[in-house]
Amino acid sequence: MNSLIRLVTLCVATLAAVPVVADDLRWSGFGTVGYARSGNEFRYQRFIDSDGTLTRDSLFGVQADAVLTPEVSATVQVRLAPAGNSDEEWNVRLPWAFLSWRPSNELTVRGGKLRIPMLLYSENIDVGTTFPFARLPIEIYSILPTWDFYGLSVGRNWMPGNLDVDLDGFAGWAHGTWRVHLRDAPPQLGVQPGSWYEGISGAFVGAILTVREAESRYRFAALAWDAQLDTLQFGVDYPYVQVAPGVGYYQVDNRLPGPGVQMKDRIRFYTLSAGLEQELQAGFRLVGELAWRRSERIGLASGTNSLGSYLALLKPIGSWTPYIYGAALRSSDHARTLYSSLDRSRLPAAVPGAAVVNASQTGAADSALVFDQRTVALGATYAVGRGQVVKAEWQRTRIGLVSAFYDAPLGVSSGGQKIDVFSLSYNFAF
Amino acid sequence: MRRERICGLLLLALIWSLLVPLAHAGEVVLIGHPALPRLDRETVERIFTGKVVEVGGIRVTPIDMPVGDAVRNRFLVRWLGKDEEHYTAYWTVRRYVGKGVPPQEAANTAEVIRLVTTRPGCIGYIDEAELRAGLNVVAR
Repeated sequence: MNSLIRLVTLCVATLAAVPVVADDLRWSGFGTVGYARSGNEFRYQRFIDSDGTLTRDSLFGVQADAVLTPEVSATVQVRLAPAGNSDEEWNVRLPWAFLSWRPSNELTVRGGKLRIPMLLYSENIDVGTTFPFARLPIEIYSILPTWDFYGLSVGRNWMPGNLDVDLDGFAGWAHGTWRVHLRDAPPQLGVQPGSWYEGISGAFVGAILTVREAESRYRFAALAWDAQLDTLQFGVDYPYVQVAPGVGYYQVDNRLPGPGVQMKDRIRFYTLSAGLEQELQAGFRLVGELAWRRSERIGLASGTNSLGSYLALLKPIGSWTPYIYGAALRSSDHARTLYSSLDRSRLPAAVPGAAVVNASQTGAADSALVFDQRTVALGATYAVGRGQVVKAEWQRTRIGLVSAFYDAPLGVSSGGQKIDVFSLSYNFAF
Repeated sequence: MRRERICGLLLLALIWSLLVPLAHAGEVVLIGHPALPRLDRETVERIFTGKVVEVGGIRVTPIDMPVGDAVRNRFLVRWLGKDEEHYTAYWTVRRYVGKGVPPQEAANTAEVIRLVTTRPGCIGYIDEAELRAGLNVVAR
């Protein structure tokens, strides 16, 4: 609570100070009131279940842009949204709080709290009127645990012929969270079943190339992040401990009997992405993105090595824009094999300590954060006025082996689940 | 005979009244601070979309007419190839990706003329019918 008060105070002080030094101060705001409901009893994407929720997609923000000198401007954005580290709370954050220096047409330098511009819509992910879907496909937009960072961004622009080319380099420090849902876990090892948010933070560096031609846009990005987990540790390898012929378990914790497991709490991610927005014949529009994530230092025990993608076809017709997209997210073969091995690993109840061991196997399988899912979505947006858009969407997600986005209870596997989600939202920006 | 002449004059007046406003409605001219050079269409488009902030070493500041203004609508279509909806949507995205804010809006033509004549780097647009001696026409 104290940190919230400090943050609100900081926001108010910052926003109040801007007019004093600004030549030109502009205020703007945005928001989404979004309802989502699935046909499933258990939660998907943190909040969506058969009870329906306003929490998954709703948020509100205010932004101040101030011109301090002809070359220097300041931007502060304050956002009220469901907390990134709690299923219950909302909080106030500053996604943007930066100074921008643009000494010429070609060069822009920004420093402060910024957004990682890796994907087509990752900078404006909170502003529903600025992207064409009811909800950005989670198969891609979960590729990083946060889109916010503290640091520096340097952009260079060229405009050869009809092209508009931007090359942006950025570096800084980011802190985010990964939500982990454990169906089971042994309290004896200090872990409880249920959901929690694992903090992850560290320094990163990245580069982005964006090419625009008329209404089409192409983006390629690369990012490396050397991150440390707050509490969670992954085993470099989980040795198999044989109890009897055909009976055994994986040593996922050094407190379990076994030869010992080397645990790591640092991960170096490499993420590559490519995206396009392409004008087609007859007014159709194609939007697609692909992101590949690979981590180092973790040999076996992580589902973070993954490939996500989506491809959408849109057709603006007056105020309407109907769309359809298909999306997929799949962890590496290695990660899926690991998950299967851990999930199937069971000691007979007659073996002393079997309950603890079996719970540890399930807990380790779930904490590996493995994904294997495909989604098809059908929706439409309707511009009801200047800066106001209503969106409706139906999407069906089929989970293959497992999806860490689905809160399966003990005894139920997320594997093979079919999730239908209906979403309706009102989005505004002014 | 006299009746036919009157009808002919009325017809001529009607055609004139229809054609004259159309002729004026077609012309939106870009005016700028006296130090600014002539600009081509591409540069004008890039200035009003925030991609160009400097021309010939001079920092430029575009000035828009207010939303709904007829001259603004004609300018957007003829110089930027956008309608109001697309222009607003373009700037909404640009604002929320942290790349700046839309041009300042003047209340009317008189304010555009005042700004471009008094503030270095200012560029605005007016109906050609509002042109007067001494204004620096940077593009037409």
